[in-house]
Amino acid sequence: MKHIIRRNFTLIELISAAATLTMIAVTIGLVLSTVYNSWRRADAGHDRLSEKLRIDAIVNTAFKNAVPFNWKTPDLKNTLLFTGASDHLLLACLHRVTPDENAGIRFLKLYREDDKLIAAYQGTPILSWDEAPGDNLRTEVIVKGIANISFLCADIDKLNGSVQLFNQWDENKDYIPQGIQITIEWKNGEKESWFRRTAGNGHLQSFSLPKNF
Amino acid sequence: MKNQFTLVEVAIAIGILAMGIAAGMSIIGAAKQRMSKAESQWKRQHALTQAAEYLLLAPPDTPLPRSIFDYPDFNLTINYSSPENLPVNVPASLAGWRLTALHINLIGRNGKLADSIVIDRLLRGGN
Repeated sequence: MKHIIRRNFTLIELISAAATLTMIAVTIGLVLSTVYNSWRRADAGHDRLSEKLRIDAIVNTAFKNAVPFNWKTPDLKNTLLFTGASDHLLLACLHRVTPDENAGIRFLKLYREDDKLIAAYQGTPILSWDEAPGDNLRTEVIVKGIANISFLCADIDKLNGSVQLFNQWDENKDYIPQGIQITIEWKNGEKESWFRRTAGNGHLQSFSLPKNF
Repeated sequence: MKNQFTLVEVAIAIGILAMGIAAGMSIIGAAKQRMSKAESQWKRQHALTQAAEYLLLAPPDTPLPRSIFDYPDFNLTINYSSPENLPVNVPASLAGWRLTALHINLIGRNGKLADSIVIDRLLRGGN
């Protein structure tokens, strides 16, 4: 007859097993934590680059194709639809005609709302004196997590040709800036600027409407 | 009789797990590297575009203001030269206008050329 003798684990064996398991758990935990952090950094980098590419797209379409556009105020005064303030921008730009937006000109407003950069746009004029948003006004969040935005408008000095930069575009000017810059500061301290010439403007060529247009 | 795992089986299981983790880390590491490369490439191109847009608006020899070009990691060298590969019998200067090639070179902190762009530009002056 065969007798099976069951032997309990000794204290040393239990301690060794517990220590081995702990080491394996700690190692796996560290490795997984490293993997997770790496993935999170890569993901955050991807998000940030995507945001920058979105701003690239806006400045390369809206800023570069910005054109002067006049509209009548309620008191029938001709006024240029352009606002270049330090914290928001309103402009008209040439745009491809799309089936749902049957217009070759798009009106765009860029502004900050909380920690977001918002683009509001439509195919009919966005009027600074009209409080109610148009029926076709669309808004998109371009960037999140921003601490501040600012704009600069460039004007060429007619006398010496030098470029002057303004935080606030003089609304009495009857032409749009020759260049526009948007600067975005993120909450993490990162800061980036985008400067683009408008309407194909250059040192020797600039586009402005005649006064009686 | 209860069949328990042998040491070899456990070792193989741990080995497979380790290989899986190593493969995952390697994929994420490669993705991070590609992301970093794409970001630095974007930054170089962006810095060049930023400089070019301003320089094309300003008269020649205008320095770039810091409010436009604020990149501590880069320096710029800007110079004009005669355009290359113009067709024969096509003058670079005509009727008071001169075709030039604007060279914008982006120099890294290590003093090496990081990126560059050449833009044809018409200037006043010449024959």
